Amino acid sequence: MSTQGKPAGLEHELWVPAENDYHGHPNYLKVYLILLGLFAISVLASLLSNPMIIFIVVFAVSIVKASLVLLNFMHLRWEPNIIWFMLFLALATLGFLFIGLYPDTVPVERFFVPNT
Amino acid sequence: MNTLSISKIAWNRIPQARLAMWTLIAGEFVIFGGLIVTYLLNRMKYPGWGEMAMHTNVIAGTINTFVLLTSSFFVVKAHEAALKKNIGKIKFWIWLTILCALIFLGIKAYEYTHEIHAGFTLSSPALLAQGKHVETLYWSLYYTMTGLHGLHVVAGALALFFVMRNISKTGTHFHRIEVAGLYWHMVDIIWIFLFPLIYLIH
Repeated sequence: MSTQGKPAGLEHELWVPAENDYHGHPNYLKVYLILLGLFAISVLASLLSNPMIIFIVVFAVSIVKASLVLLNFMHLRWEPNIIWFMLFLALATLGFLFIGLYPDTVPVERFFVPNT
Repeated sequence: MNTLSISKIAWNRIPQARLAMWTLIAGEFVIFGGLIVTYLLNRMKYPGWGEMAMHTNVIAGTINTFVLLTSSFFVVKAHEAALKKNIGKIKFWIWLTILCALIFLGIKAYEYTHEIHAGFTLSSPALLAQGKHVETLYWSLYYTMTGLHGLHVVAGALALFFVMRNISKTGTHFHRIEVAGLYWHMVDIIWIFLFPLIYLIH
């Protein structure tokens, strides 16, 4: 990468002038309205009677909402792969945490059925 | 093209400030994600937590979610204004965002007041006296998650304020609006998960 445009003393730094940076800009109002719609769905879903269905619907809607904010408001879709990789590592860490701790939350008998 | 050169291109494509903010955000996701995983696992293990979740104020949580989603929209509008170097509009949208942060914190303070008066605190001695040790844990985690999130709301609002003030004084560093905005969106994403867990799933 050319060092042209970098301040003195920062030639070795990984630095890009903001003017040379590009990422797209989606229709923010449209994204905001979709987010509000999803928010309404999750609130209405909480009025259902089956707790398991509530959990699945509400959590799925949360994942979609978070993805919309990440991809459009935070411009993740235009970011280099290294940012995606960093976020993937963070989520993978949480996945390992959940899997590692899950056996502590259910009765041991479900995992170790005694021989009869 | 070998792996090293691909990696160098990837790192060099992104301005340093934004890269630093994304690194911070990945760390924050692990911190809050760890708390959310802890909440989910305990919620599965202890049915009594569902009963405790019914004591939270759903209307207050719903209003706060609307406020935070709206504030995220205001921040991207500020970013749009920053790209056009329109200081007047930047100030307008950032002040609206800070107003949203104050509304959020005010509603959260109102909620805390009612919950503390009802005997639900970090240690909940009233619940302990009834032998409800597991239920006490619910409120400990509730205050940890929402309190830490509240601190991030304060930090995000302060960051946006100082960035706006600096831009209006110097007329430079417009890109900082986007960097501070990334942090604000991260605060919003965390709430997107906290809201259903704490308020909607009983």
